[in-house]
Amino acid sequence: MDITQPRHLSEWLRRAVSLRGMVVLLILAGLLVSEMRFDWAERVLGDYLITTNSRRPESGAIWETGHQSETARQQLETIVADRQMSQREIRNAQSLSQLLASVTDEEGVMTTADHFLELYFKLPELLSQEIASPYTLLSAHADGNWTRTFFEKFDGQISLYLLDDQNRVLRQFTISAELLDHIQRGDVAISTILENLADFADRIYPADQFFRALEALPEEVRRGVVSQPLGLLRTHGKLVKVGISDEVQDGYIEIGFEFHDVQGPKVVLAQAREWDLWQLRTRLRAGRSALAAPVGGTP
Amino acid sequence: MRLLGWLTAGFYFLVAISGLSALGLALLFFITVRNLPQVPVPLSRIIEIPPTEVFDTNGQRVMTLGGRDYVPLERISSYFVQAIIATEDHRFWNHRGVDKLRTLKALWITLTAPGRVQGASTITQQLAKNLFFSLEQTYTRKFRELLVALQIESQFTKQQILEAYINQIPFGVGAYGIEPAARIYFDKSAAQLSLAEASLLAGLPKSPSGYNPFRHLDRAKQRQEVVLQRMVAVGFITPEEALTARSAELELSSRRSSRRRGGYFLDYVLKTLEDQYGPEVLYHGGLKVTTTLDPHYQTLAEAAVHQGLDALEQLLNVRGPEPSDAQDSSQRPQAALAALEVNTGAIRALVGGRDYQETEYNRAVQNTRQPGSGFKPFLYYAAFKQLGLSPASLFEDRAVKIPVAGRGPWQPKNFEGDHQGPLILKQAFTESINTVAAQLVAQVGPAAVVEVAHKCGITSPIRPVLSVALGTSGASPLEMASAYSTFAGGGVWHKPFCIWRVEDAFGHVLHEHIVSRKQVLDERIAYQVTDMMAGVVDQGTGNGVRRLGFKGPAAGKTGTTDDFRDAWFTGFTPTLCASVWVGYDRQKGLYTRDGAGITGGTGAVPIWTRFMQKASEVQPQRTFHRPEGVELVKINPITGQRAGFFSRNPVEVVLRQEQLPP
Repeated sequence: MDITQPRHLSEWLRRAVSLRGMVVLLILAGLLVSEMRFDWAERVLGDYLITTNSRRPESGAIWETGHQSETARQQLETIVADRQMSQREIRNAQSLSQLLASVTDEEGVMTTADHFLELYFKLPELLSQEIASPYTLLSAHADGNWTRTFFEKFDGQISLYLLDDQNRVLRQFTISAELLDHIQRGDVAISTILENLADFADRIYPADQFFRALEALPEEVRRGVVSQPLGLLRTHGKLVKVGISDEVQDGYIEIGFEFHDVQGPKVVLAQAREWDLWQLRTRLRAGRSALAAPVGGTP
Repeated sequence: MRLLGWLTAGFYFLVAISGLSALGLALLFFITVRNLPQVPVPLSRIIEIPPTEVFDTNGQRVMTLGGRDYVPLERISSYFVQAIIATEDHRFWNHRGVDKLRTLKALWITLTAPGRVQGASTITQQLAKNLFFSLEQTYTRKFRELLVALQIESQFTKQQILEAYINQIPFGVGAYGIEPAARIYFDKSAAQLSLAEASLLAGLPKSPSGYNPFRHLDRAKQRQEVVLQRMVAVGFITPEEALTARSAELELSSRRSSRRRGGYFLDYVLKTLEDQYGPEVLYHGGLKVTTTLDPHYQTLAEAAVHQGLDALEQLLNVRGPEPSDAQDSSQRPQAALAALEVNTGAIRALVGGRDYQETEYNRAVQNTRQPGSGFKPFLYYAAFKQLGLSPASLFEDRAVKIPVAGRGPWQPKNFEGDHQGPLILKQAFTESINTVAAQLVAQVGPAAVVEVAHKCGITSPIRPVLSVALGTSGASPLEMASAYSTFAGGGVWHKPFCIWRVEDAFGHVLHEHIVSRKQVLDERIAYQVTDMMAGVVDQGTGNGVRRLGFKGPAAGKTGTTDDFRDAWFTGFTPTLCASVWVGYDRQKGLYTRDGAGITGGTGAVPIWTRFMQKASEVQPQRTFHRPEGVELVKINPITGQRAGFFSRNPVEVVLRQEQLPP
């Protein structure tokens, strides 16, 4: 290529309109005009950018909003899943104590009217009556509006609401802290003496006799008879008598422990396994001839 | 020849520079591409964020948060599409993301006329900017925006781009996209916009607040004129059509005022939801929230507060500044009202101040001011409960001096300054006698009063000092309304709440409120106090309620603090309880131009009465439930004994069975 300065105008013109110069100029002009007409540069760049799209970061305002939406969606999924799991647990609760264990200070528990009745029927009669009168429940049931039952904790007590499908409260009951304790232990205390409870007639023993017989039994049997010994230990007052019912329900027999304290006598009801209790009663009968007759009994 | 030499050298220099620039640009392109934001596919994903919707108690939507009301191009008025294209980018259908001629022209103006900046962004570039970039004005940002615009043009059709753009541009007043804008400004859908309306809206994106037709209609009309001219210039409409549109009467929606309605209530709902679920879920979770807001009560409450404040300002001789004058607005008195349903605790109306637009500070919830004598019901309840006193118990209104350990004696004074001598407690209550309240708190102890107040629902901390009897600890109007409705409900406290139900976007229930009741007060004593509060309304410091014409059963208590800084009235009917506070945001007394102080009876009672009068019209009239074991007895106020035939001015009081005089 001749890069020396042209010495004459003719030489300069010759160089300027040379074939090579014209071709370059035409190419440049063609590129420019075609770009203005067909936007090929934009198309090429745009198409190239599409190929890199998936490798580029999800940044910018719209993606931030998207990420926030995603976070919100995940949080909501967790809330819904937790709620569904807790509802499943509640639906699967086999006893009222299981269901009440799910009630926290922050959150109550909802179940259907039928499920509540199912758990209610499983309670010992004396205990269920302490919670709510069956007549009241019958009345609510007969109204046809009671669809759900809600449990809520307040001041250590449980409030129990019978609700209609609009969440209106039809009836309200309170389960006191003491009663709650009994439900969770599976026993119940009522202010009376064993002699007043027909179920225990003829099968009331002095506490020391009962526990002497119990002590002679193997540990496993003892657990079957008194499943919650700590609960009894915690009960205020002096344990004086123990009564044994003769009615078997689902393999369990009710036993009553009579305590005396400054507020008067009370009977704590619990359930014992039938077979284990039978072994205890055998011992008690065997010892009867050597010991005094059962307290309150009429031989 | 020398000149030719220079020309040749210049040419080669330019070629070299151009080559280097091209090389530099290519390098810059490849560097920039790596950090360029990814473009979502499909582009309509930008509006797929589900909105959180808030409904009132009747199921009417009152607020939408986040999300976008997306409308396809076919359901948008063609006038609007034409108007926005003519105004923003008239060569939209022809370019590939960048308008080269316009860009060169803008570049030329920017370079040759210092201080003048010519915009040349196409609709695609604006879309790219809105979706991915900040408002920062840098060449790098412009270059990145340009590249994204090129990609958008290559990846999507023109219709898709235009649709995405129109569905996300800001129109002000919280409206993003044409559909919400059409609904807010003209209360119609985007498809129904006329040429006049469409051209007005198309002018807003340039400066949504500057051209806001609710505030600056004249400026908005001027901008509409520009839009119409552009449409004529581009050939979309004829000059005659533009003239007709220009002179057409614009019927702006009245929703502007309804959007403001319940602002304080909705703020409280949002705060509750945010505390419960966090901001992400609230603003991006697509919740469906059913609130307890009763639009009828809310309207009445807002009207009562405005009228009450207007009347008060006349008494105070305070001239109201223009609404936009935010600084001076702090010099004007404020008021707050909280109303809730007695039998459920559902908050029906909440007004946190004169104007939500002016100040969002929610005085109904956040403002804990001294309730003054408004605290006396808790004191009297504690005294009746702990000391076995009754409304017929005889006390003496006299100067009192109660010793306080480690400090000088406490010597409260009566509001009127004088003393009445012997009187029964019901009289002392209805006339708000402070010296008797002081004797009671000295006997029962401040801790007992605090306990009752907390049981009734006052959640703010209360100092157990003697002066608690005269309401020296702060409480909000919502707390006061909640606490008084405990008396109204026979001692049953319902937790106040503003949300009935929360669902996610798929209808899963996240929360539902169960109306639970807690018997926190003795029903009979609560009724005794309620009867005394009815006495306040009938004959006592709150008798303005009757003078203003409210005839139904009502009970309540006024409260006025030192130097008239706070004026309160909290009262209830058997179904609705409302608390009203009036005062300055700054600690300043409410005095008329004559120097007289504004009391709860003169400042708050009129607002309460206006609200309750209208609110009660839609409620079946009921009386307060009288529990078993109480009797109404006429008492001689001088002796405290059963009134005889010759007793003067006997007072009817409620006595428990065991308190009945022989």
